[in-house]
Amino acid sequence: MFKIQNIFYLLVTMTIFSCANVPQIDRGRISSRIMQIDPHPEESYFLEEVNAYREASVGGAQAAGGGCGCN
Amino acid sequence: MVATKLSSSKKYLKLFLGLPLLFSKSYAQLEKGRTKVKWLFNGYKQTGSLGKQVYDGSGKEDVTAYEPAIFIDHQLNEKTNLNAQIVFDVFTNASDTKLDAGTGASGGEGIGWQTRYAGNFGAAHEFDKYGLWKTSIGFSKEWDYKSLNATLGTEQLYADDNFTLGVNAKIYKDEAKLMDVRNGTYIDGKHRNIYALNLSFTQLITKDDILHGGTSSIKSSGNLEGISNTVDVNGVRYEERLPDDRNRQSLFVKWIHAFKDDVALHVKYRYYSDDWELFSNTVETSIFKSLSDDDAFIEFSYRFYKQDRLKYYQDSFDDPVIFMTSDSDMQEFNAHRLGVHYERKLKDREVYGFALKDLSWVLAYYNYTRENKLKYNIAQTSLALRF
Repeated sequence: MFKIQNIFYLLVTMTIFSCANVPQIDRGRISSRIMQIDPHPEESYFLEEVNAYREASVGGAQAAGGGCGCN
Repeated sequence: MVATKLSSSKKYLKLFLGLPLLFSKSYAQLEKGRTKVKWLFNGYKQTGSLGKQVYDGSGKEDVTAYEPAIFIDHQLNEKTNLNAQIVFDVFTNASDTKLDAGTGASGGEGIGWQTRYAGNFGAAHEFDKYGLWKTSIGFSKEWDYKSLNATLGTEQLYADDNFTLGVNAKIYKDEAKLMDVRNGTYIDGKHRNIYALNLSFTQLITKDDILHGGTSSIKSSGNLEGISNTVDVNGVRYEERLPDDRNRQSLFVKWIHAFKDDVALHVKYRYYSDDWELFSNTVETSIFKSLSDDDAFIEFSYRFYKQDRLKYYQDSFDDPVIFMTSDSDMQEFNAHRLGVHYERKLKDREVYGFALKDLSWVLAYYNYTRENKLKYNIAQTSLALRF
């Protein structure tokens, strides 16, 4: 089910960046609301659903293309 | 949560409270026994004129939909969170494609106002200082399909919380009605199953940069045709015909950069491919600006999407073939979406003896245009509070 190259890219990226270390004392800015992975997840859920309905691609978001009657 | 103006002790408190937000684990945000509620209203207006899949040949794809939703989070104890999402759609499609890829009707009048209701109920539990499990079950029902779904996932922190790894699996068991074009009726009991496996990671790069990425694999099987999609075969309408399985993969990466305490840039790229030979690229970028001493923020966003044509797609066919579709969502096209989102905190207040805290409201608007003449506008507003 998984393409091998997808796993490879993910592992390479994880390896490269797992060496980074930001101390707790320096995390004030990145803990702010506008630095969240998704600052408005509830509103984003509807936008991602629409993307899954209106486009032929899925993934990389909460919607997986099911539960909507679309193909 | 602007740290620069705070004393050292407050800065650490904000860091502690901010970490669950940082890694999208909203469960630890609430104190034990507290509940967060958000009411969200989505308005959707779509127009289109080149839908080759529309049964009556009009090509019209106009849809109007209203979707109120409610999100509830309750912190049961220090380690366990319960959450629920309930959605109710009302939409009309006067002979046009519904929001979820059906076609209105024969003859041009359409089926009129339709309704959909859906719900998801979940729980998350922290099993140690660095990890949590989460699970949910959900349903969705409309006149032409019903769906049950379940999710199971876990997230784990590593390297002094610099790195998060998440994995979740989701299954959908759907049942749809498919159109019998010759009789103009719908056939019950068309099953489809969807299995999704998602891996994701988040890595703190510098004090101003976060990297987030992942991969999704989705397998669909069963009756995968659009519910009311048809094709024109030499002037005669046939049902859409598609394979009974589809394997889909996507890879995405997102970079978040803080220029200053109150300005942030989000850039995301996604690559998608499947064994129906459809490939797509998506780029999304947003610029965020904190306002009013961090009590509000505004976001300006742009999304570009480009997809190839599905290999079974044609505008029309000269003769019937094994697999054929004219679904405008499967065409080759570019699409652009512009958006603006404004969110503001309100003062805490007491109503009938209940202390309402963390009040906030949202206004958002998005405009989307596609090369094949489909457009939509979305308006969103919400109100959230904690008690």
